[in-house]
Amino acid sequence: MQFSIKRDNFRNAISKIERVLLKNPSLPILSNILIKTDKNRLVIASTNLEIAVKTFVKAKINKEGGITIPIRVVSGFLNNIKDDIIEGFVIKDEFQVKTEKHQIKIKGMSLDDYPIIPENPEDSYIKINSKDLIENISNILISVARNDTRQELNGVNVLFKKDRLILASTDGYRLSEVVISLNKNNLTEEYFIFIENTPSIIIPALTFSEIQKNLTEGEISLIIKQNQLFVGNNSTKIISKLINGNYIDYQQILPKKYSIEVKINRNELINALKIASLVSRDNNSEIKISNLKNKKELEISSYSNEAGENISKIAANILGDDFEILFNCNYLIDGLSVIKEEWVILKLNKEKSPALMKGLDENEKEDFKFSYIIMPIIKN
Amino acid sequence: MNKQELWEAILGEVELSLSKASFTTWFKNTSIKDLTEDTLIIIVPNIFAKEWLEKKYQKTILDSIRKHFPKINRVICSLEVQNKTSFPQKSMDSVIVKSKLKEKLKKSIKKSLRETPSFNRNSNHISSGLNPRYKFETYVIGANNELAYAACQSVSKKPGQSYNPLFIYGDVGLGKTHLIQATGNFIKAQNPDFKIRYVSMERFANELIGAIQNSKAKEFKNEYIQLDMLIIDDVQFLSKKEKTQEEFFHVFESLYQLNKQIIISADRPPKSIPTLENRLKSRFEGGMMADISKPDLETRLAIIKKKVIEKNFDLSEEIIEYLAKNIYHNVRELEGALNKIIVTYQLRNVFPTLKDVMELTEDLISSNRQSKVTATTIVKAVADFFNIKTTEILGSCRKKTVIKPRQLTFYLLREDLTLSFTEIGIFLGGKNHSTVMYAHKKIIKELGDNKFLQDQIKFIREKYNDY
Repeated sequence: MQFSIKRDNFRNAISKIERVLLKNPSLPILSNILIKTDKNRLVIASTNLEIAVKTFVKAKINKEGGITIPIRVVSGFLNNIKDDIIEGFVIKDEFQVKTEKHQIKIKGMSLDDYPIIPENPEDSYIKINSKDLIENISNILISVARNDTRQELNGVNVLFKKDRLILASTDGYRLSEVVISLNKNNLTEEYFIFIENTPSIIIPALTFSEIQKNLTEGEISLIIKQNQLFVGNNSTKIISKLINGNYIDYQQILPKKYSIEVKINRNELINALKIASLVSRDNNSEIKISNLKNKKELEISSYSNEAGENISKIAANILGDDFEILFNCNYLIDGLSVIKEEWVILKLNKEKSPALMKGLDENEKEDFKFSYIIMPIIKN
Repeated sequence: MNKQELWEAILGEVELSLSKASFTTWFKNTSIKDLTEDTLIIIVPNIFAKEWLEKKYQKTILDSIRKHFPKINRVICSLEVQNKTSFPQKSMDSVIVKSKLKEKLKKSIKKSLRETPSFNRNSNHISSGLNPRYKFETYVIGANNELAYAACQSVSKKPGQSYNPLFIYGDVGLGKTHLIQATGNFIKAQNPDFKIRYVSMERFANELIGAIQNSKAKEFKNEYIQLDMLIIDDVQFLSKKEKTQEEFFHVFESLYQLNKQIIISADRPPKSIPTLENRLKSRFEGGMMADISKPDLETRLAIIKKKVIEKNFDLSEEIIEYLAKNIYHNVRELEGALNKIIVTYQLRNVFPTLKDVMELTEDLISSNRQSKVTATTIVKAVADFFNIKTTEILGSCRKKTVIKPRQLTFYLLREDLTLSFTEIGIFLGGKNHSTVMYAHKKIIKELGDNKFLQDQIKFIREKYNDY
């Protein structure tokens, strides 16, 4: 193999695929990335055997071929050089890189020993504009459980409907639900057949964050084959396993109605919560929200023996009963920080029932796309 | 040697020729799925293992399996398929069936995209309308539904021969739909070519209207007449729909003449369905009628236990008893409460205590207490049942259609709310207490030997208890 490429292009491509690699994989070759030629492009890929990322990058190819090399060495080299153009050669199992000032020989392993990364199928179930998908991903990722023994909760449940996708994630303390509208023209017949049999799947959270970081432009196509998710745009493809199991039937625990509604400015609320968190009890950042008698202000207060105490009052439009509810402040801030609207609505019931948070547009209409549900802290 | 022992033997041999790291990477969580004459099918956990085993270790695995089964010449890896799919890929045969089905499904989807109204044709796999979730095995039998269950069982064994039509009635949420769909599913499982259609009366009416609009009424009827078995749910929707009654009658009659099984369900017996044509009434009554009433405590206990096992959860006896004792109206509510508890505690990853459950189901249970029954709700229930206006009951009209309901109202107010005769008289538009007393006595006397009246009262009572 022999090629020359701009340093920045090479480095960008590698930064796309390096996140999935494990620190200490069981098989040494799994700390390598794969580089090979594909007509007039380079293919750079990596995998941890659960998810694989593959990206195509422009380069001048002089001779075809390929190799796998340790990510640590190649990314370290690229981060420390300033030269604009890079030339690469493969001689047996050695990858040689030459720039104007530097030269390095990296011991690699043969392509044949690298796990075979399946090709993405030509057809697709869904085509979707990357923007429509990406802008929703951070909303859904905030609530995903990390390393929960219940495998399903470490992923995002995707429910397929004829005209929309419903994404949901929860760690047992809060829950995010995102509705993504689909354009009928971008769905294939296979999609409808597929969803007859498989109304929903669970996608690992890591896969979603890779999609968010790597598929930022163009049209994304998505298909599920052999219990694997294939998703990608023109330049980057992601192949991921799905999580087996049935997602929790969360609709059951959502309150059907709420007795209290609070409309409030998002930034003011975030600021007050951040102040409250400074002196809140540190084990679960406990804060209390309650209404003032006139129902024109919301009181946020926190208290801890060690750190001190705080009270903030912010203007709000409150409808319904009097209330006094404890929340984990960080969970509230997480939800508020992904809402884009200037105003939010909090819907509450008495202290033990989950609360709902949604953005409000200029006409005070609730955002239908994103719902954030938080469990209050229950004291016995 | 069983599959597991065989695979262990092969792994033992393969392990020798590989490094420990590659062995654990590629062979962890693998097992034999199937062994046919010339092919070995292995289950692998991910697509990389599939590619790797098929491409790189094909020969190694073949070499060692040939020592046991010399004819094997192919190794195929299959990915663990999610357990949710409704078509389990058990063997190669079912894969083929599946692809055929897919073709069919494809066609029907194409069709339904193109055509309105969207009732499906031909491909009876989808158009049966049956939900495979409903099975006899998951149905809990108690004194309340024994007869209905036995009737359905007998129909499922000899469709069209034992009881035709079979009419099942009972209040909402007691399992009518489950039972009649289970019958359909049972027959379907025995004989996949049997053309069954399950449809709710409401849907039937809507489809009919759609067909008439597109002047396809004839095709619509033919569709139904070709069936081997028709299951109609919630037939009380026929009331006040003369045209639908007419068309339904023809469908019913043609199927009945050909000895095709018909199963009907409703929330009340045919007699009590207002404005149902007499010819339909008498036909519904001509076969077998079985009612499903509210489950008793033991049955409710059994239902909860079955559901808990189904959902793979664990609840203490105490909680089960609490739920069974306090939610007695309707099985659907019971299931709803149970689902809510299970999901809540699966999320929190702990087991609920009785106190938690009491809090969680508070709203369901308080709505169960019958204290809410008032004179007004009783009047409303009676008026609804007889399809007249409440003002007519409260007024002084002497029409026969009004007098009977009014007398029943007197009776129910006296029996269920223990109001005095004078109070009842005043409440019902200032009637004399002796009128009330007379009516009360008259109903009691009639009740003795009038089964029909007993039924009516039972239904009215269930109605206002549900408000």
